[in-house]
Amino acid sequence: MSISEPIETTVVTQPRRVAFSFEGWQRHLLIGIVVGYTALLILAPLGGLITGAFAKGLGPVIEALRQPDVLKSFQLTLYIGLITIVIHALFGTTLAWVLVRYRFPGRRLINAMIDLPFAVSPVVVGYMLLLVFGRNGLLAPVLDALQIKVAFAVPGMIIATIFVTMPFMAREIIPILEAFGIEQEQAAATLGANGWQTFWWVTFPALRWGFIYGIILTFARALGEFGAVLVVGGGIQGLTESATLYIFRILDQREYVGAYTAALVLGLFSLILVIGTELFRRREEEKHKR
Amino acid sequence: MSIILDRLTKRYEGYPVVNRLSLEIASGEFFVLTGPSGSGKSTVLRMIAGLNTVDEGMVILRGRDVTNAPPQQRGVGFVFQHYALFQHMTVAENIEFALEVRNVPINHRRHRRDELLELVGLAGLGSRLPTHLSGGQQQRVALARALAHQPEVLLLDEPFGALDAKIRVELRRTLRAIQKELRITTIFVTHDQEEAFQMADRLGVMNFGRLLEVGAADVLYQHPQTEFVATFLGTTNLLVGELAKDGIHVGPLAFPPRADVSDMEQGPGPQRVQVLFRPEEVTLALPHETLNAPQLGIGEVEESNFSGSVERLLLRLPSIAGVRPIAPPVPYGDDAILVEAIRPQDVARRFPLERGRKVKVGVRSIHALAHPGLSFLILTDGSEAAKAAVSFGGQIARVAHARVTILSYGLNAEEHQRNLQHVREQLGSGLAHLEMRTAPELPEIAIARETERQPYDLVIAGLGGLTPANRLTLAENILKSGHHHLLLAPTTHAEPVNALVCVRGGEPGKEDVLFAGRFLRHLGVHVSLLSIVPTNDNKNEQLKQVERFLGEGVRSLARLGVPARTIILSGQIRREIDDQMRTGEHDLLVLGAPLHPRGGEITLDGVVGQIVKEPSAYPILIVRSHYAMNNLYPTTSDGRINIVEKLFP
Repeated sequence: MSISEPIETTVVTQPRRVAFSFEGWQRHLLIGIVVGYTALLILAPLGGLITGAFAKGLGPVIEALRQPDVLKSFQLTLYIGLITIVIHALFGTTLAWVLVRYRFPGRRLINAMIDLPFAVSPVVVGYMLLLVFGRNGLLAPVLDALQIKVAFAVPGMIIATIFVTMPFMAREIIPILEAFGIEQEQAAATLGANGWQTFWWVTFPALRWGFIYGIILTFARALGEFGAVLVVGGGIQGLTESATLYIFRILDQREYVGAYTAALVLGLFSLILVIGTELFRRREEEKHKR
Repeated sequence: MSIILDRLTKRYEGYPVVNRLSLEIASGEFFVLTGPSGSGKSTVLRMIAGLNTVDEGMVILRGRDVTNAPPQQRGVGFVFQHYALFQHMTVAENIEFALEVRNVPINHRRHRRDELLELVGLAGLGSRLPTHLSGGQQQRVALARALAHQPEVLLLDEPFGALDAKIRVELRRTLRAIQKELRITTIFVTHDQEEAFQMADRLGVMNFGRLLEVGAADVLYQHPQTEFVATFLGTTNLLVGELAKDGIHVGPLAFPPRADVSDMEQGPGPQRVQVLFRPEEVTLALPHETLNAPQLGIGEVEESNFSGSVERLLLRLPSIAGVRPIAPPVPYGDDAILVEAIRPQDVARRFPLERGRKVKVGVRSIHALAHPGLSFLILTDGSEAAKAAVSFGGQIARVAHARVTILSYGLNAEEHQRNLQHVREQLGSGLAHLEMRTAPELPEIAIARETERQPYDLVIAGLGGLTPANRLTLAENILKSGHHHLLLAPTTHAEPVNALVCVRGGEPGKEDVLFAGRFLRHLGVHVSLLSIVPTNDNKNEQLKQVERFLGEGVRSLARLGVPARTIILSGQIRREIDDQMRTGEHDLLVLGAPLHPRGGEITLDGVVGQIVKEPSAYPILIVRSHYAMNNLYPTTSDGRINIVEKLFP
């Protein structure tokens, strides 16, 4: 469609009618399959991780977390994650805004390319970045002249993480922005609000859940990134070793308790983020309903 | 004057959606702008508010030119159809918004907010969220919000369109009371006539981007000047009758000339006029009773509908010589005259009239409108082909009593003068109305400008001397530049006697037949309605359908006074048409332009294109169905244009 139409959002108050439904044993079977499937894929590995970590009691777990390499790698991961969300908060939102509100040649192409990081293997991403930023890469002369080291250094890992997390922000915000339309903004304009006032008081509050979800998903994905940061960063112990790379290394060294512990911390961190956000959002919605 | 709009124009993809609209609205006036969906009324409102840009013309609010000012600086309050309340803010925060962005101190803000809540009847609901309110309450909040900064002008865009009938009535009253109390200049856009009549100090009716008439509701209802306004406002009976020296005649009806027809151009002999009478002017009597008004005829009750305080009757009268019905529309192929009447409910109860009952139909009084007649635009660039077009066009304009505009294009000033001088000599006298215009541009731009100034029924052009590709391009460009039909004049001609009208079944086909009939009636030609069915197995059923369609077409043409016969052929379309033109002694070919997609390019592909490409010895009339025209503008479902890019530069 060449013009965007404001989408009307209507609240459905009628009880939902299902066109067909299974009853009796069929229903139980379906529910059983879903529960079993979820448990097998998510709960079982999590349980394995927990029992693995605590196999020798609490002592070794605390000991494992005190390793300087652990602290360093977790610090690096958090650092990369934070920079990534700051950048996506700005550019991801702008990207979504531009794609929804403007029509320009190449818009469809950009819209399709946002999803590219979903499709391309992170290892390939890392390799592509090496071809650009590596010692013999395209940008090598420039980087040498400026004395900036990107490949096998933290900047390279940040770029790799930003690349692989690109879709989350835009994909969360675009549908909300489309559904939001422009009428409230136009109302604000006729009431005398300038562009920034309109954005901060009208548009952003409407987008906030998309924005928060985008940030959370981006951050969670950044914490877990492995392939791209390994290829670009090289996993140099104490320098470019992020949490996932650390876990991989000590697993290789057969320090199982340390590896499981670090993995558990990383996993729980992501889980708490996602569940916490969900709970928070529910509470907010309850407030609106009352 | 509080609001002055001066030749306001908005184009979308080249089409004017608002066309040179000029309007003055006094301080404190409640002005209602009405018209069908897509007529441009919302766009006008949005241009006043600064939500849509203006392509040409001016918007002046309280003496200040705000044509290019952003919405923030216009001091207007705007109410949207779907409320557009800030969903995450409470009612109070919504209302205070305009004050907050102006940094009004908090206690002033609160005071004003409470005042407004009181005004719209929502006192005490300030802490609610919009989602907890009903639609009617939400629109009250929107109204309060739009009034918070004490705007000089209040604009409402179909504000009650999404509400149910009872709440609508309530809100109308509230709005009118508030408007009277604040004496705020208000423009209210609606397509609901009842709403328009009830609210308006003055009413403006728009169609196709033009403001057709402005006036008090009762004046527009009783004395409309245009066919569109007559049929758009209220239910109406509209017939074509004759104006003679002794008065107006509609079949057996005769009314003495009245003041409102005196300003019509009184030509020699009887003239065609449109005669309007509202259902309440119709009076009925049983066959043995006497009518207390001039009798139009004896009709049969076709439909009777209960509608609250009155009963609505639709009466079917047999056709009357010299009378053509316009409204209510008569079904295709039917030659009756339909008349709408109403009776008070108590009368209806005492004297029930069931379906099929015969009654005398009388008319108490009528209002006459000047019959607009046809208007032609003839193109000329001084070439031989153009000269042929001028002479042919002039000739048919004379018999059709059409107004003619000559458009001389693509020449320099001196050549224009010479060309027009020649045209004048060629045409001589005897035309109802002749106007000359010049344009230096290419034909499509020149025509687009000219049709924006004034719409035409028909554009006449000569294509002789052009290459096949150029013929096609010119024909497409002429059709693209307006809503008119196209007549391609031959290089040599005699006056046409037998027209071949090629049609396919379906709605557009019906319109093609009807326009062709209105046009051909003036030429006094005989018509052959031709349909070509492809050869295939289920021929029988298809054939019957086509036969029925053509039969109805013949009846419709007969009602217009055009004698017609039908031809059904099967075979290759192009070749069959050629054969008919050659052997059937036809000398005018009428084709329907292919329908084109909404907002899309007009392409004459297929048979029409093939025929246009080749030079022909006979004129070709390309008829355009209104079926496609109604979809020309890229509007949203509620009839407004959405140009997102322009709003957020």
